[in-house]
Amino acid sequence: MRRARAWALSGLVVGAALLHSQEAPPATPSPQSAIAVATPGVVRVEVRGTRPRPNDRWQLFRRLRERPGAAGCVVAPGRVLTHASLVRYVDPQFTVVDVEGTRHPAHLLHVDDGLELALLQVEGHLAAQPLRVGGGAPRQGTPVLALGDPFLAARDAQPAASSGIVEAVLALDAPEVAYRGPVLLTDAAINPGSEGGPLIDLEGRVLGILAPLAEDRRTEAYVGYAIPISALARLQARLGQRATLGVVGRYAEGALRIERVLEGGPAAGVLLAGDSVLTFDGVALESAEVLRAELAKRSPGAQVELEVERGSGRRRVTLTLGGKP
Amino acid sequence: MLRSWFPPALAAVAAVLVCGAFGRAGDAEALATVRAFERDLEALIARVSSSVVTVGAVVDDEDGFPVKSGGSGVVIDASGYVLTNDHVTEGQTEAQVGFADGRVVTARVVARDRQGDLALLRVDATGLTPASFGDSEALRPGQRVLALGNPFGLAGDTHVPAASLGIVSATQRYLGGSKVYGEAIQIDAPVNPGNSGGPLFDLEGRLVGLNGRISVRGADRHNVGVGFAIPLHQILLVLDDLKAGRDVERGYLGVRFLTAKQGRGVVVRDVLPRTPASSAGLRAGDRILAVEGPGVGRRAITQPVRLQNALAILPAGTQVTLVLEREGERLTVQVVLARRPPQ
Repeated sequence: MRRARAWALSGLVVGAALLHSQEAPPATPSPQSAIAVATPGVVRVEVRGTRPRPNDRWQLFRRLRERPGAAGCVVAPGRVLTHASLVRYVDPQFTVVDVEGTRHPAHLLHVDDGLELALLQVEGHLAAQPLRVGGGAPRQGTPVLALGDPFLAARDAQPAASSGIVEAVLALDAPEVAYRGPVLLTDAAINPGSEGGPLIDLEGRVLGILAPLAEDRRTEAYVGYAIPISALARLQARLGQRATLGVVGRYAEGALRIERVLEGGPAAGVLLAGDSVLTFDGVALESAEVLRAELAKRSPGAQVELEVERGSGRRRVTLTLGGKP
Repeated sequence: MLRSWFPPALAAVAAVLVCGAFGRAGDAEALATVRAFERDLEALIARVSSSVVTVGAVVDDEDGFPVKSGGSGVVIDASGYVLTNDHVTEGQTEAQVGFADGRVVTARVVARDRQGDLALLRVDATGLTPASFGDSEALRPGQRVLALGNPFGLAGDTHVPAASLGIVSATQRYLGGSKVYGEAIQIDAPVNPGNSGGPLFDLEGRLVGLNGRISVRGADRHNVGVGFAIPLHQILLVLDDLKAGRDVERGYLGVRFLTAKQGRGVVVRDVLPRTPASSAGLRAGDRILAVEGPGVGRRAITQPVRLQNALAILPAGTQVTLVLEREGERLTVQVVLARRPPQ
């Protein structure tokens, strides 16, 4: 009841602000001005990957989705923040499409399941303007807009907006929710394809990153929520501390087949495109998860031994992991 | 009408939004603003409701029993013209039209735009209130809009429409299939089965579109906040034809395009034989930069969807001018759009 009233109030004030904006310069925040400010920083993220594994926590999300893809937020030049559910593919291959429709290949910098966030690095120049992040603590009743591409209806990567309020800031009890801590519950329409997009305030500032709908354990209702953007700082802190290999590849036949070696990265001059990395300090590289787990156990600057297949020969190489020591 | 409360409300609105909350001092003023808005919204809904109708066509189900389809419509002319979706009339020549004042009359289907999902009905009734026309091309994401209609047939025998308020989520959406929606208006105002054919109004109470389609999750055909309206500017392109009793078909060019962006314009991948494009001498590799047509002005083509949209809102028989680049030369080509082949 209180929720409904709060919605009505904020919605109507938003409506009033809009009418106002037709009369005067758009100095007053409105859905129209917020959408105009934020849209250039919203991208579509397309994922190609092999069939995901069954019985994981994003199963629901995947069942709902007809083809892989969702939204992303440009948070720094060339860096796209999206929801972790998007990278839950085996061998994900990412393409970032900006609002102009230009397609850019991208690779995963870091995914954090606990934060439900993933950070992608766009290869080449992404003209998109980074979004304004944070500013003001969202509270119950704050008018918000959800930007994304529900049902991937857009053919030109123009995001769609839906309006609502922050219904509550609370920790959800839902099997799909891995984020520990209060999330932003919203009544703005969220649908498959919205995830990864921003929840913005009427100034166009990012308050949170939209997640796939989650089933509330108590009511069995599907609710829309966003991870608070404060999680981005935690993600970046972890990104800085983590060890990296600096390659892009795909997993096939129990090995990591290198497609690109990142310039200036730890593998530059050691590995070549086309190499297959069979083992990492003796552990078979069967999947991205194995590599991620092994990297997580080590610090930047650590030496590792890789067994590499190049052409018809096999060799062992030693490599110093990257990252900020 | 809506503007009457502006001067006192302006300061309050600004104060509320700058403070960002209904806290403390601004509270009373904010509530006054909201109540003023509510009163205006009520008045607006009462005013536009008189031009909203329920539309039901009687069809036989697969077992041969007559069932009534449920939909909505809008009166656009005092002489009795009512617009609805083609899928509401289900191919029948007549439909029952119910007014908010309780009257139910039998309407004749004057003409159809089958692929464009429009049907024009005519009722023999007096004292009708036609909707005034707004500018659907001027709509911007974030703008508030009001959808009226008969969701789930809930209006019943009262024929009083239900209203839902939302925002324009996006413009320029293209949805293909057996019904083609070009330059469609995406809204988050709830629209549901039964809302089909009902009007979308701006906050001035002017008609900007016809609600016709929703995206749904799973098998349940209920609203998830993603609805699509046919823009009024598309309807106006065919309204005279429909009024004259001429059925309309969507336009067709007959080319396939490269999907990847290649700088300016959109590049023709191949030209299908025996199509307007082949008759006009279009060639693979031509870069289409703009389309000009009667009623649509000049539309710059920056992405394939822009051309798809421009062609989708133009009816068959329209002569359009394509501005294109071929081997570095700029030229214009006249093309008469043909009928779109059925899908």
